[in-house]
Amino acid sequence: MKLTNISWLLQSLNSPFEQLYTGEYTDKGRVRIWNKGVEIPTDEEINRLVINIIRDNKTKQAGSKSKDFRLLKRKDRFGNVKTYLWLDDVTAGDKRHHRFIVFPMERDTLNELVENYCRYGIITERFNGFFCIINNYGEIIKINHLGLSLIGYEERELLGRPFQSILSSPKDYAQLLNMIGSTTGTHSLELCLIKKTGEKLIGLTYPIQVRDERDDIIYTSLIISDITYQIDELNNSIKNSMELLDSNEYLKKTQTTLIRTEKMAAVGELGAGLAHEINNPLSYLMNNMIMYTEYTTQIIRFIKQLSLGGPLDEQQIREEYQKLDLDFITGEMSLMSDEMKEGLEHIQKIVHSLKSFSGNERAKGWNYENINRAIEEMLIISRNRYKYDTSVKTELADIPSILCNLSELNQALLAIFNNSVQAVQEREKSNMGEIIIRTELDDTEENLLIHFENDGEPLSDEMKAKVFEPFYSNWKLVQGSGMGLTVAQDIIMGLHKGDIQISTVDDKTRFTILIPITEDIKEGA
Amino acid sequence: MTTLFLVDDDEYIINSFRRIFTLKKDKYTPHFFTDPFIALEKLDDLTPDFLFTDISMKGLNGWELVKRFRERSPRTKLIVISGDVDREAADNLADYFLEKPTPYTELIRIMEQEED
Repeated sequence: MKLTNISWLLQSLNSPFEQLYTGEYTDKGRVRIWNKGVEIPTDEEINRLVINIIRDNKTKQAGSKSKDFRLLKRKDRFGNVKTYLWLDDVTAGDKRHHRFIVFPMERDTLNELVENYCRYGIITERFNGFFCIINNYGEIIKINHLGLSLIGYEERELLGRPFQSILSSPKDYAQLLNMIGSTTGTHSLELCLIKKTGEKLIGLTYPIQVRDERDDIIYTSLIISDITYQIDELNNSIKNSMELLDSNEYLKKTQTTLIRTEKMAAVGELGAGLAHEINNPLSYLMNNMIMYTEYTTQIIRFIKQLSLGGPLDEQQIREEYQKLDLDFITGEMSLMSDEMKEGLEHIQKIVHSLKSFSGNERAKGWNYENINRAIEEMLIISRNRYKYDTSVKTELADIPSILCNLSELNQALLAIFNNSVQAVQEREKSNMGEIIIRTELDDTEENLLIHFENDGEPLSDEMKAKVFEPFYSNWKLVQGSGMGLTVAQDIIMGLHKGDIQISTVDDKTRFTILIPITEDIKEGA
Repeated sequence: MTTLFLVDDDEYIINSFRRIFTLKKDKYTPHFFTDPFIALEKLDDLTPDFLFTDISMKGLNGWELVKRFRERSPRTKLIVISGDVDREAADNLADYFLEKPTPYTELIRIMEQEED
């Protein structure tokens, strides 16, 4: 048992000072007991005494038997054996002032104290951190070896020294005092300590007040965690975050560009399909126009013969009519008229759909729009994309017009539809795939639901989780910029305050879009 | 007489060429197909001098048809007519590429050029 930790005994003893026996050694080596209570040490004296004991004890050789500390057994006047702890005040120097203090205590109390001492001793020295005790005057009365090594001092340089002297700022000390005085539980405090070398050590400090039975603070333990490295890391991280913020700004700009690019890519892809859709009717319109001219020329020739070639009898007219094969010509012309009319209407429909899909000025803002019509127009302009391998069915319910940004919403619908088409095109089966597009109101009638269901290549759970990530492509054949569904999600969830979910129903992949039918969504626009 | 196959799944396009070639029946023997598989079957009976084919078609696309004609009928000149494919891709596989909308005069020009 080392006396270096006697402070713990003193304070744990919690013995009222009135019960202390104090005395001194006489010249003849005897002990003179002062009257009990005559010279009761003050708190300050006890603290100083302890500090001095610790300091002096450090100078003694390790392992030497200390005589500062003894146990005495005496019978009291009733014959009961009592145990006393005898503590020498070796600092008194000359023998005339060589004092001692005797603590009366029960044996059990002593055992408890010894046990506490051992535990405390282990905690103090084995505690993997900086441990320090300060008294009520703010002086350091104990500091463990790790603490000393962290701040580079010898123990003797610090014991009895104000704790404030190793803090970088009086403000830190004021905060610490404030916290010690607080009764509202344990808090931590970040203190900046100054090492002997002048370097700073940032310590996360937990002050623990130890109080006596009158609830007065006897001393304060400080458990200090060295977080200098973490703080440096944090600072670096903040610095990096600031740099990242700059790069995020860059990324945001890039993303805006990408969204535009995605729109352009979608329009470009549409354009190729639309060219085919328009060029086919144009091809037969051109050929038919040539034939129309040819046939018209023959009819005109016949009429001219009728009017200019002199009077012809009925037989001659019939012969000329058959020679020119006018039955065939008029039949063909009638057929051609129907085909050309259909071709022109097809082109007109495509141009109209394309205009309302992307080019219409009105569609660029927030308006009440018929989503069923938007879906039908989307199918017209993207027909060439799916017509060879996918049959598309629509089940469009009677839904009200909803407030939306149609130009943006169209882009989202097209991206989801294209993904469904690609799912069908990537599957192993050779028969026609199927996509079903359904619209309905949900049970609350406050939300519009749009389902895109396909029987194509199924999406794994991993794909479902990643499918909206930028540049993620779930298909073998990479088409587009990889931003289609990312942009679609942003348009639906960000712009329209809606939702988009992917589920698997009867082995079919279903994208469900939810758009709230409220005025509120416009606020986000 | 020049024999030609014309394959396009758009019936109206086939109709329009059929009409045109009735005017040219003294020089050309055209065969029209809206189904590319039937065009392939017809190869058992005769070898055309020219194959004009669309690319985007149901069942068998034009690239595949050109490939099979190349294997089975190396003498046939292969011409792709399309409005939505890359000319470079067509040039690699076919002998000629015509962009839709194509006037019939372009078909005639190619056939006359080859015959010269």
